Amino acid sequence: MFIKQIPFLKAERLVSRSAFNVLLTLVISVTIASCGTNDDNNSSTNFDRSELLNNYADNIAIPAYEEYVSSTNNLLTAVHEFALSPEDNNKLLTCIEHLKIVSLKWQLASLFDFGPASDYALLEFTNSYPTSTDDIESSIGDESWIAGQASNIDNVGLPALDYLLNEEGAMDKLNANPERVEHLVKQVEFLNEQGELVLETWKSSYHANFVSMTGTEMGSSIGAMLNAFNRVFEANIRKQKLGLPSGVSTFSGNPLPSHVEAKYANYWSIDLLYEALLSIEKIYMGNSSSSNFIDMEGVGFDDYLISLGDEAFGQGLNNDIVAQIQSSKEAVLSLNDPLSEFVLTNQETCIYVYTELQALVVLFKVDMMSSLGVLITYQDNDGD
Amino acid sequence: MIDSAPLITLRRLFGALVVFSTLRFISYDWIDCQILDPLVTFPFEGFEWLPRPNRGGAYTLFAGMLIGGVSIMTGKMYKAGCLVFFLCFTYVELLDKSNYLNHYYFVSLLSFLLCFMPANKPGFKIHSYLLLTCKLLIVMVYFFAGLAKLNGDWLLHAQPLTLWLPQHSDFPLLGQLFQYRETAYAFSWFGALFDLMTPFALFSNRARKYFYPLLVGFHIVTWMLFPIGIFPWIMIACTTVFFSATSHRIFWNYFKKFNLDLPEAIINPADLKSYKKVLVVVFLAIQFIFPLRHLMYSGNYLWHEAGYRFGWRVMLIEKSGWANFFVVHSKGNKQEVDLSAWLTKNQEKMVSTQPDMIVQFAHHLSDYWRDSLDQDIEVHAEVWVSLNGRRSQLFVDPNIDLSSINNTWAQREYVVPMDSVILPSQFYSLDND
Repeated sequence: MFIKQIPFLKAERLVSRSAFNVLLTLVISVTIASCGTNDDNNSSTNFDRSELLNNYADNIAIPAYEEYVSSTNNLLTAVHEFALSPEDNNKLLTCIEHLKIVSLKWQLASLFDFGPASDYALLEFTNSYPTSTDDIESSIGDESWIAGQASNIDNVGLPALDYLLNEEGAMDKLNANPERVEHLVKQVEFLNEQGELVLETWKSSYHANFVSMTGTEMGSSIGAMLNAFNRVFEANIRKQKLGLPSGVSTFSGNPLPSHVEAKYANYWSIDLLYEALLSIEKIYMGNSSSSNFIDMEGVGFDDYLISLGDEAFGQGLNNDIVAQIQSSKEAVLSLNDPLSEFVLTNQETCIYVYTELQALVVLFKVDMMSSLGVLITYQDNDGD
Repeated sequence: MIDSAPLITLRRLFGALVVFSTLRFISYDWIDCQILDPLVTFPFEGFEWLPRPNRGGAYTLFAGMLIGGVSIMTGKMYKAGCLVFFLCFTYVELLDKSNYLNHYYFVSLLSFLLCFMPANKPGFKIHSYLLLTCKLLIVMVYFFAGLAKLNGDWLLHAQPLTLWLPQHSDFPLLGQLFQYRETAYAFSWFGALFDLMTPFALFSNRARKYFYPLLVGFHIVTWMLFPIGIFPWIMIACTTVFFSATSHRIFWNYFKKFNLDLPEAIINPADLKSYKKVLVVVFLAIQFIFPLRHLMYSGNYLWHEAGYRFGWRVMLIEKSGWANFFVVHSKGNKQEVDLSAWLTKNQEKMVSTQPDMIVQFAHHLSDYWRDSLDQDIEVHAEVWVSLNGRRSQLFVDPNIDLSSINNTWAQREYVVPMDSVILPSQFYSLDND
């Protein structure tokens, strides 16, 4: 019965002939199209995404984590030394200085909240505030307390350290209670260990993974990066650092001074906000810090947009983003520490700066995302 | 009177695909993500009364789809199975607009139609109008998809393909060409032409056999480029219905177990009742008119999306948006709403670009504040949307209480007309003066 296959052969011939037609049509239409307007140089969007990813991995992400981890190492050393002589006020001050450096270094690292960072919930464990002082107090002296549990999120990380080191009477309390110092050390050890874990994972396995996923779909490196970048900027920078303290999300519209970042130190909240904006700029531009503190130009999202040509959604968008980053930075400089007092006395200024940041969120989250064609899909999508 | 063989192929393939699609849906854990997890849903207007299923209910619905799908595929208890599938599937689709897909709508329509088709047993003769109804439903998808592409964005700016294609530079063979603007133009024009041509080519006895491989190629390319689920496979399967009964018999002869050669069993159907003819005409007329309802509205319907759904607009727009909702209290205080606390990521994405969902969400917010907190509030939103490569623009009027609007067939006056407002930085500085 297998001999009787004439219709099949015929069908096969038909299929191959028609398949040839398909190919011919495609080749012809593409040839016509690409021969059409050779003089138009802007129409080519030849952009090497793997160069972009390599730049982000080698020159920004990994160095950002390295600097962050080296700052947590230094903090750990300082805390260990303080633990040996808790009566020494200078040693406490050294700890506080190092905490500020860690907090500043954290700003750039926090923007890479995907891959290893999200696996270790680095952002949540490092900088969730306001911190729960009750939980911190009750865990002091508790032998069974282990950092890194989900329930610890609001009593570990930088805000907890800010409390332990900077609260009123911190020196006396630490001096009087060895268990408090012990807890401080545990906290810094945890902070340091988390950073080290993420850095190690980036270096050992994630780096190769990251630079190889050159697509732009959900789950690709560019998709993951932009997603984290937008989310951290919108929620953790715009809203948390400034919006919530300014009262934009409160029922009454009243400011919430207790929601400022680093509220116990109370004199570097604006520095952290400004540093976060510099970090946003750095990532957008693909710039990296060199050893002599001058930013080095690298392939970043700005170049990606420029590669789209002299269009509103290409070069034009880049110009607007650059200008908006600039005016956001200038706006932030109009704020003064302590932010917790400034939101009470100058709420309108705060809300003005907030809208500057908001304008930047729109440019990043709406314009840039659609220009780069990053299809954010959570399920099937046929166009609506 | 014609042989029912094409209808049987349609039933078998369609059944197999819906079973596959249902299993795929389940295996991706979408029952939880799309049906059970959301805090609030966005039912289609007129179907708000449908109760939201709990876990048991959802599993029952999907079991119904599976059993119904298997029954469609095998032809056992076919009509009852088809009805069960149609009801369960459509129920789930009606629960939440954010999951709307053109091809889900197509699956609903076709399974509804199949309930009335004598497609269970081979060897029957059927009235040719029945097959014609299926064919017309299928070509309408292409026809309207093609018609929708005849707009400035698609033809003159090659959007959204200009934004999408360059991202596929690693595509086999064609990848390098995707970086050229000309390729997007070629694809756009070819796509429009293809869609418009398909109905005629499929009905033409001469062109069909040459055209079908092109159609298969076209759908496979779209499947490789875009996350459109099983849509290409459904269309590849359904368009086989245009081939002659003889071709279908030859095809199934390769699979001995499924062959359709039962010439002795040919039975002529009873005469056609005239009310059935009327019903068919009414069904087709609705299918033809409904997708055209966007003509009732002024402005760019790609922007305001009035009359956009249920119109076979496939891969037509790249729209991204960002919505900032405010609850405005009687004292005039504005409180920003944290969308991620209310919506799933997918819902958040949909709410940010679709006006009727913005209104629905405003109602969710005002209901919550009124019922749970005993507060009368207004809901305002500042929404920025970018469409097909345009820069972001203000989408809905930020001064309107959105919870006072109801979704109707009327023009969406609360949507800011496209190209009238400007960059965010300008908007904010105006706001501050």
